[in-house]
Amino acid sequence: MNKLTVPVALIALCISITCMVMLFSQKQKTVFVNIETVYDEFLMKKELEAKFDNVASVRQQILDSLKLELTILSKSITSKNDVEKINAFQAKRQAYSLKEQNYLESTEQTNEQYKTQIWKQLSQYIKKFGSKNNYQYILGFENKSAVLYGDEAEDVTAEMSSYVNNAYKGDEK
Amino acid sequence: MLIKEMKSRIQVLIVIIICLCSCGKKNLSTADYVSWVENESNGLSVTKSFEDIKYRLLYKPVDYILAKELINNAIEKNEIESRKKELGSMNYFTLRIESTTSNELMRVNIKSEDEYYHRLEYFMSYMQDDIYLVDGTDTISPNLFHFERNYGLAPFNDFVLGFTKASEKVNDLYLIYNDQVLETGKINIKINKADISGIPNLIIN
Repeated sequence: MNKLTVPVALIALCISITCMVMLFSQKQKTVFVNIETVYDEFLMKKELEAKFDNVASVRQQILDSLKLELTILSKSITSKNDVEKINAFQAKRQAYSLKEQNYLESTEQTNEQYKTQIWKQLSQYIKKFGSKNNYQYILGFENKSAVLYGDEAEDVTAEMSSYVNNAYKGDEK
Repeated sequence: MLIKEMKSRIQVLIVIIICLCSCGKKNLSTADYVSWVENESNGLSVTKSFEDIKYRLLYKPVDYILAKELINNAIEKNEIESRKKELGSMNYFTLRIESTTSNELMRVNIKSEDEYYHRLEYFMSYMQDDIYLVDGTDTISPNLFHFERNYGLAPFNDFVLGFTKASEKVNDLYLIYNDQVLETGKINIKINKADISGIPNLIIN
């Protein structure tokens, strides 16, 4: 009887340790991320930003060249009797204002559209990241707010950033 | 000593045979082949879901198309080889776009009837300009594009796509759809080359 006691006790100890390790590893965690970093590093955001900047720069070039034409035209008007030139100047100025207004509205609209698209995808990938890692909560903070202290080990910004970019590229299923 | 050596050699041989058997491709009948390809766990059907829209890309090997045609009696057995040749030089896909909030994809988040017709026109004519396939280092536009209209009978629409193969080499395939009407933006869906290489053989009885 005594011979059996020690091995049985050892086996029981091993089983309880294994159970504790399993329980601990399965426990849902709360982590935090710098959402501003995740957003800024998101590939889709970078791609759309580049596209947006490109369009904005082309539009600015068009406006600049119209403005230059206006300046040249205004300098060529020497007297009030220069009716033809004055009319041309006014027409051009109106066209310039109209174009500027159109671009402004279109830029705002595109900006909104891109933001909607980015968040639609990003929020979905974040949800998947959370469920895949069995997190209970993911707290998002920006550079100067919300999480006043957090153990660095619970900061999963880099992991999330990498996951959402892979998910966007199609490499993560 | 000799018996021991023999035993260990036999063991090695058994392991090799088991490995070879497990590495070999499966042979499947038409119905099983179709089910295998459509089974998401085999990697040829990949889904990407968002709040209100779900994209599902199905990679269709030539044998899958043949199997479906045989099941539907669209071809005879003696036509298989010629049909295979006809289909052989392209990668085929079906892209299914589904609404998870509406009965009709065409009407998801629309604000006016005009928007419905604009979407219809886009799906029928212009969408193909926003789709391409990255096959290895090549980026290919679709040679085949067909929008399957269902007149609101289902919450999804299917788009049949075909791309000329960049090479005979099997690569990872990335389907890229630059969405213009459903507010999801650019979508990338990947079919792994390992999953393409592991496609079973179709056995036609």
